[in-house]
Amino acid sequence: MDDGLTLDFGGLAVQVESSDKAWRQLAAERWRGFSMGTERGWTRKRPSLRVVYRVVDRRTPSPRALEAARRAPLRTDPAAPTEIVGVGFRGRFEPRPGVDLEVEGIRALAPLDRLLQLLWTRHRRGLILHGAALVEPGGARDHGDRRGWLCTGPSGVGKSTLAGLFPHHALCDELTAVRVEQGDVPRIDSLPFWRGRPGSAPLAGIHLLRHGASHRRHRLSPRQALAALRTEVSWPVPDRDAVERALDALTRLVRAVPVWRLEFRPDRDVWHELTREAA
Amino acid sequence: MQSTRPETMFRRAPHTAWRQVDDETILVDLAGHRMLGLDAVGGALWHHLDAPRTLDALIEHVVESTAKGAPKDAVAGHGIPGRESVGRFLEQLVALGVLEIEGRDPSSESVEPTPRSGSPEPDGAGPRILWQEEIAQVAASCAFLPGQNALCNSAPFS
Repeated sequence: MDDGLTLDFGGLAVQVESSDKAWRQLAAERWRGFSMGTERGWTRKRPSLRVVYRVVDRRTPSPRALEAARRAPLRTDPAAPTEIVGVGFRGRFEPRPGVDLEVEGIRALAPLDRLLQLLWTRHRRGLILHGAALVEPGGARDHGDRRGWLCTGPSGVGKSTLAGLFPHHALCDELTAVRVEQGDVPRIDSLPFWRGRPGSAPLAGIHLLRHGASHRRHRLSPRQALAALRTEVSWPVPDRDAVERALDALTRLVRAVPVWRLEFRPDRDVWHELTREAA
Repeated sequence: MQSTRPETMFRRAPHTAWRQVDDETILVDLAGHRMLGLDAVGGALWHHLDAPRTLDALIEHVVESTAKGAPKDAVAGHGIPGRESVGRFLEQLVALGVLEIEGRDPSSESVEPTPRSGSPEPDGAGPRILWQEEIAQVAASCAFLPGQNALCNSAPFS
């Protein structure tokens, strides 16, 4: 087993190990933007969590097997209730001292992509939303108190388009972790889905995106926001405690930050609308 | 229907999570990957199912809550639900797999869930399932083998 790579996953330093060289190469390629390797020069943070991935089937997975691994619902195993089971893999949290997550699965990264989200929800108060994270311009790593925005909505509404319009502002374009601590301003942490770089910022607002002929937005009530956002949450099913914490977090989130419905056309003028303070 | 007999005991399925949000109860079916929104009366029933209860006990609780108002004030104003509407609501939850009947194998439940989202009760007294949503997986992983998916591009934006 090698020392593995250390990944910045929503502000958690996760050391990922595998004895399978091909899997390690996949991981290094997939997560290179979020690797906390010393060559990037910006991290001396020690890993806080340790993940072990055991490849139990060394064949190249078929497209069908990959599709099942990435999409089939996760469930608990009735015979082993502490295990999370997907198609082509199973994972156990804290199987032994010093290991926070152990996964046995096919030679692919999809299983870990999914289980890392559950790992985050076990260690952070908050939730993971289907959205791009953008911040005010500044340094690449430490965004300090620069404001951040979450731009969310179903596939096709323009998350990646928006991130691509503002490459210096975008942290990630698909999934963003939102920390919602009692009494604190919620914070966004970028996640390695799909393009992006590590970063964090206090959350100034959430935009539910929609393509339109012009830039226009209107604010949603907390109740409207909750209804609109709940389909954009990566719910940590089947972990009951984590789901209930995520429900709490979503309820607090829609009361703590403004949520807007934003229509936009794909040009950079939208930045003004996006960052405008609430009236 | 057998499930609405007075002696029938209802209990929450173990694979459920829930939270009350204002006057609505959000119920998550962890096995069925579905979310339900229960109205105030439905939520009051659900919260009273902290132990197995009979239909009569549940009706009595809702009637008492309605009469008292606070602290179950969310129930007030909805009128007093009748046995029929409570029974129908519980059957719906059983059919959806989030409620179980003691002594019956949940997998043997043959009642088909009736789509009720937003449908008004004839007596306007609830309890009701306000909405149902499937828990869809957002952002299904692209990450398997390099080159197999154009989205799987971990390069930074700049």
